[in-house]
Amino acid sequence: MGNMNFEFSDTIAGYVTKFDKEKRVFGLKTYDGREFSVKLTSNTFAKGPRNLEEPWCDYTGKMDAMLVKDQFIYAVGIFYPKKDNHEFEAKVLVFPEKELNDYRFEEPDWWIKQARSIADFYIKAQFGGPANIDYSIYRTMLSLSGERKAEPRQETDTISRLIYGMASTFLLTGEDRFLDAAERGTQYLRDHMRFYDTDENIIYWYHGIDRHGDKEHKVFASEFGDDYDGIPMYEQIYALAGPTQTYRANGDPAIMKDIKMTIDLFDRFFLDKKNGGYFSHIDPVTLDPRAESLGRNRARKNWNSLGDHAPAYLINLWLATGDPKYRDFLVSTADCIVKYFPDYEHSPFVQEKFHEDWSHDKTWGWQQNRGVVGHNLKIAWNLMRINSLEGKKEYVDLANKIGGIMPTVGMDVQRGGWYDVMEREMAKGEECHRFAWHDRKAWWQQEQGILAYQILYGVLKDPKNQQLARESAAFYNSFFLDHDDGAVYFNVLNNGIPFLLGNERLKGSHSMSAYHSIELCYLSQVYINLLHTKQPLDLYFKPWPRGFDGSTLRVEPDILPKGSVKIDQVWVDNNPWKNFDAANLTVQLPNVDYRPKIKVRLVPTGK
Amino acid sequence: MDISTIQRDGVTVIGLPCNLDGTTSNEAQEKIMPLLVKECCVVLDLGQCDYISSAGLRVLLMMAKSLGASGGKLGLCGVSSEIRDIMDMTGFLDFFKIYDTVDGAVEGTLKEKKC
Repeated sequence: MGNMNFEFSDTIAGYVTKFDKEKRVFGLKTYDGREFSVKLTSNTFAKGPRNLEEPWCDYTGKMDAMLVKDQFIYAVGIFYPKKDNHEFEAKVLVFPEKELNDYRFEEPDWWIKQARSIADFYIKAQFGGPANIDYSIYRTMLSLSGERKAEPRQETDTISRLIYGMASTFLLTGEDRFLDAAERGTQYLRDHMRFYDTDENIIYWYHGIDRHGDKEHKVFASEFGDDYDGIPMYEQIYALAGPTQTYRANGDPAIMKDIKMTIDLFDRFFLDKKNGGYFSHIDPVTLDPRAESLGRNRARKNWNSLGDHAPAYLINLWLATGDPKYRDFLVSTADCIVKYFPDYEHSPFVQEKFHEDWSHDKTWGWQQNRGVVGHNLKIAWNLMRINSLEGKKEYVDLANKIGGIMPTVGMDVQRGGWYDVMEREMAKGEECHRFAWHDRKAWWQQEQGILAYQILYGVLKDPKNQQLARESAAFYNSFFLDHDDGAVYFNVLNNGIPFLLGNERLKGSHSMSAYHSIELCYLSQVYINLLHTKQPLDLYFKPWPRGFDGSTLRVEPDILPKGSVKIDQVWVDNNPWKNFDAANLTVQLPNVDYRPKIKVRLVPTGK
Repeated sequence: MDISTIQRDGVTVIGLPCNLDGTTSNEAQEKIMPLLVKECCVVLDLGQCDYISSAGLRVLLMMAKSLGASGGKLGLCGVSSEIRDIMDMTGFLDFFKIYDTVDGAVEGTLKEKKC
């Protein structure tokens, strides 16, 4: 290896250990205990925590006062060669804390404001504003600044994900434009993207349509490379994400019918009745998961087809209905993950792809023998949710195990944040797991890390998890918010600087569409307020008359430990309403022939 | 179900005597698929078919896929406006070549094969 005596820029994430004001040098200790000496220069400036749509927050003037022991900061600067080592000079200090142990993203409305900002960005980008939301002009591809690209494609899943974001923002804010966007989108999916198979009495969803003016050309099977010419399970799963979240807010029976008939598709054609679990693909014509035409997707199972049900729609469906069959489905999903995914004899990452007999598929496409950091964290997060529904030691054990392992292999202990796809096993002589393609950090994977540690801390109370939750959220809020053009960046480089090339430049694409960014906002606010800081949280609903079964509105915000949250107050059209069950988190709706606005205040019980 | 089959200039012309829906599609599939030999040209005459359901569409798609994979060609004729609308709305119209008459379908399918 050549001599490393050259300068290079980088970011150090760490906790201040000491500060010599005279010499303008402070100590910075990383998560894993390595200490750096950081020199301040006459040009060093500092910025404080800043949410979307907030002005620049300059901390240069109070930099000295902020450099106190244990303050968590990012020092962005240059390593200069010096003798046999390097010395680091900081050019920018980024303070995620307002003061020591005071993280602004733990404010009771930080994430609500962020959700509103992101949702408004997409409403403006896709529809020109809230006045006339017309999905015929929606396009999957959006530029960095939110301009619709010329491609005619409208993908079902990206519309559904946008709907999810809109519905979630309505739940948090009660502002009607978001529910309007969600409902119009749900109707659009039904009218244009739904295939009602009258003979089988099931529904499946087109991959998308291409719009050319008023003409539309339906794209039946997936045209996405991983899933070419098949119906992938995950596309059908995510087609339900938006409508299900909308159903939580409005109880529209037409949505429930679509959901049930899509789940029928899953159970009749994707379910492996012999070996358990769901196949990842079926042939679009024969609906056969074992069709030769599926090629490398023939008779396979993967994380998406097995585990993604829970976060995408199934948990929200359970929350909306309380139907025991969805509870059972969630439990069987968790059981399947616990049984088949761990592979710790060979790798710190779970196994994600399987043949139908559950033998490991380590030769598929891009995945090979690689692990997705965000999928591991997502498993931990969702096991903890399902554990609050059906407490099982194995769920907590695996979630805890993942929570303990991931910082050692999937987290950037130098700069903060969570990596992307890694080789699951090290080759002989290697000391760290290799990156499959790069060491960039994706917005959705940061979400998984934040939520995993937020819920782990919220339920199990281990301060190590609080530290990781805070560091994860700090990295995301410090580097992913696009203060110039709105919403969040797709990827950042390892040092936190946005990466803006190719598809990763876009704000709308096959991958990005107001889902993960707003899901993060919704659930972070739930976990922080109700589990961490013990603050109230208001949620809003606008049900159709006699939509929900028995006119009962279920308002549990997420699957939280039983008895940890209760309803404190309810308002119907701003008037206090007393007909609710505080402990069971249900509201008996008024018998009216219009759609009332319901506001529910949830509070932690202290249990 | 009695489907008719005749040979015209090397093209197998199959006539369906009924609608193609959930009650008839299985039997139609069983009778038609064995006729699709490698690289053959097939014309399906839907002149007596007023309605097609998703199961029926599936049979047509299977025929198209099977022939496509083996180097054969499929043409449809006698397609009613209602069936054409169903195929258009479901996005499957582009999967098929549709002709006005049996003669036109035979000629067109042969030309496609030669191309």
